[in-house]
Amino acid sequence: MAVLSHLGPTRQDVAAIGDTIVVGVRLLAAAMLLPALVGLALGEVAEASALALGASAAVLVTAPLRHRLRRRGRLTWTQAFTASGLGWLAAAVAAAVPLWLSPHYARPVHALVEAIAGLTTTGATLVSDLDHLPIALQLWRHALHPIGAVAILLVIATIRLRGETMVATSTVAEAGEHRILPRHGRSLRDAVLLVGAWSAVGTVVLTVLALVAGATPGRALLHGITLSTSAFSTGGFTLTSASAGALHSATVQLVLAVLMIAGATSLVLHRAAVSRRFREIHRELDIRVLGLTGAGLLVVLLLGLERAGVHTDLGGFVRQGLFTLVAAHTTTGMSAVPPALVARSWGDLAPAALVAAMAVGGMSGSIAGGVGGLRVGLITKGLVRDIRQLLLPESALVIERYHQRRRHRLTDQHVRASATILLLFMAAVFGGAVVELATTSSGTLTEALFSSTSAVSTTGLSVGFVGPSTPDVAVLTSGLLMWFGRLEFLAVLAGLGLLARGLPGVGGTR
Amino acid sequence: MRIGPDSDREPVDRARVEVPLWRQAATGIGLVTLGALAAIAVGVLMAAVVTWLF
Repeated sequence: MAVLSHLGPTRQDVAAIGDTIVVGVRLLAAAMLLPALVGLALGEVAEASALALGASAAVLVTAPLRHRLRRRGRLTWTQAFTASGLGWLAAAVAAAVPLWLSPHYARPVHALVEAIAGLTTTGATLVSDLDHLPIALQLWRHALHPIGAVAILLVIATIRLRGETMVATSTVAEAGEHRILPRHGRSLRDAVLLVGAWSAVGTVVLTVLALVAGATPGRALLHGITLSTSAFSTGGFTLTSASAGALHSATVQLVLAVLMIAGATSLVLHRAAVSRRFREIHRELDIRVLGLTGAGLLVVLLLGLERAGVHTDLGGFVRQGLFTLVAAHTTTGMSAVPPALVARSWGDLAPAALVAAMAVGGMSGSIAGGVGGLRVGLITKGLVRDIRQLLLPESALVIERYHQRRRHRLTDQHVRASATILLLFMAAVFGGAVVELATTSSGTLTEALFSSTSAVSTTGLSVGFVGPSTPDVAVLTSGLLMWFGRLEFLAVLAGLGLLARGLPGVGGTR
Repeated sequence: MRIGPDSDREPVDRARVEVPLWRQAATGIGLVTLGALAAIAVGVLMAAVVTWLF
């Protein structure tokens, strides 16, 4: 019994995690009121009521918990990551309520996974008849992207506060019991400013371009707001099923590509740009890796399109090929090509390049998902170091260095931590593909791997494998993959660490 | 914070003088946009080369 009483999280852990989640859910509930007011002004009474009901339900459900769960002092790292992992799910449940009340979502699971796709900035959609979705609900599902982006930037800032490189797995293991530093107010302000400033500038530019493309002023503003927040948050939700091709404008696609790349740029580089500290920026491992993978995969993609005989002129290569690669590499998932066309006409080589781009993802420490440029670079440098060590005499000491903000010496710990994330990513992709294949009646392994890579990397690009007609188990699996991938497995590791603490042999302290 | 010869306060560390927020945002957005445009330009150039080759 003495052992049993030491199992699992302490009362303080539960209070700290619960309090943080309750605050997050209540902030989300407050955010529902803005689209509700817009809906009311536009005469969308049912949608405005659904949003108000969702906000009220979130406040009512959390009310009894609010009084019982009181956090004392600062969170430990384990508490913070467990809270962010569980908080993402709790927020998705709250965000799904107004969607679930709409007839545009066939089943509750669809509304839940749509909310997860929004908050994890994945952008895969399960809505029926997207083109006729009421504006209030359009605004709500698009609002989930910047909310999720600010939340992930806050998590990144928490990791950075300890001055560690963004390799993450070692961070939780080492620092689980340490208190996080009390700079969250500033980090939150920085995240809101970054997402807000880029989205605002993008909104103005895209609204003007939509007007030029022939949209009515109201519709142009709606396109501007939704496209810019979605692109910078590396989300991928759009107003219409035509996605990025809705306005038939190459200039719009160029602006979206810039916003997507900016969203996949690390917080470190955004800060370097603000303070004009660019002296050694070309040495940054993230930039070098993404430059090389981007260029290499573009060639593979274009060769694939050439072999498949689609979009073979320069316009097609750029507007369909290059744009889709940027959307995949930045894990945004906006598409200028219908999913069915990619599945049927693009052959095997071009989709394979997209899968690789989604897996690598954007810069580590950015809103983008995927394994991350830095981690791919660290694993590659680790391989190079080991091969050099093998070729040289046994007494030779091989030292490898890399640049991230400053010069670092590559250690076994960095390589191991990056490799762990890569292995977990691959396990999630293959595991997800197997479950999706087993639960759906049609589809190939290639389509299943494309779909699960798209979910784990929080990209949202689709070949039509998971959709409104897919069985619930496959849809839910897809949602769970997005959640695993968004937090780079940190939340799962932190949660397991918390549960295992105090187990005989684990060596936890109380 | 006043800066000037008639200031009767302690000497101001000029490096710590705050730049207005809008200017910081404009600098950050401008420079990252330039970087993104450069990356896209390289992509377009590569697409042009592949088109020419095939």
